[in-house]
Amino acid sequence: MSKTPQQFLPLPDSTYLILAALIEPCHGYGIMQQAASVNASGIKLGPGTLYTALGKLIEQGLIQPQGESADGNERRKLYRLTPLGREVVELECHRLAALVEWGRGKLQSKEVTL
Amino acid sequence: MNAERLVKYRFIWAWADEKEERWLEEMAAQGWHLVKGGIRFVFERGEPRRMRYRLDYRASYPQGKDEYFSLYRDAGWEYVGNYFGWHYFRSPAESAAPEIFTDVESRAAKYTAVLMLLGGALAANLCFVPNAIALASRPDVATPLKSLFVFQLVLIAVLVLIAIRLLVHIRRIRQQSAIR
Repeated sequence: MSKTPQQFLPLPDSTYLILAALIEPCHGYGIMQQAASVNASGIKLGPGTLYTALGKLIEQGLIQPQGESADGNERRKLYRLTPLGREVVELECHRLAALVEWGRGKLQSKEVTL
Repeated sequence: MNAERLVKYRFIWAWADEKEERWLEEMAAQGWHLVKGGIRFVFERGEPRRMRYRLDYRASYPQGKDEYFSLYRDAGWEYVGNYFGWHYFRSPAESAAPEIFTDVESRAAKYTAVLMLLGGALAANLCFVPNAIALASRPDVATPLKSLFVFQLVLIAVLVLIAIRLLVHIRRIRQQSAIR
């Protein structure tokens, strides 16, 4: 019934971003800030999309709620990766790195022939 | 002194919510800012301002409503109000707030949630059809009761049509993204 880590791959960009942002416990606002800071990615993370995604990722057992953070009188829910979630991020990270390496190699070999 | 108010009645289908957003933006540009949405729209007079209006529909809040509203607030969206699960948000046009939905899945899921609600209403109606048929075929049942049955059939037909229209809309959203 439960999925193996491989079965989650490839991850949609926004899912990869949310999971990687939760390597350390973080609230939704922090996830959006981290998403905005990865400028080159072109990925934007809207609140409606994030709310839906958080629910889905909890259901899939990739993340879990971890109490609340109090910032003044603003209380925000904290989330963190589960061991399964961490494994999925690691696998996806390796998969993407291999893709990037391959592409880089292709580009360099092209430079030589030119 | 109370601000000047304007009331407008407008019925908008679930799949035309983006049209509704554009209309609210036009109203804001003319200085009429939304106070209450739904079918009876209330606007308040203010400075003309270029705004972005967005609608979200939610039938359930797995992480709670507080979390829902705080995510929107943190992202730069001001909450205006709610009408049977339809939430109205706005943000100044020049603000850096991201779109409320930034992927196809969650954009489509909004309409799927409306569809589920419709499906529930449809199922509830269909449950009573056998009873209604049995009742309508009895000669001793009065005509007014029989016309109630006809009304129910019409209702079911309308619900089915709305569901089909929503399905078409969801498919269109998915196809648009495939082209991009």
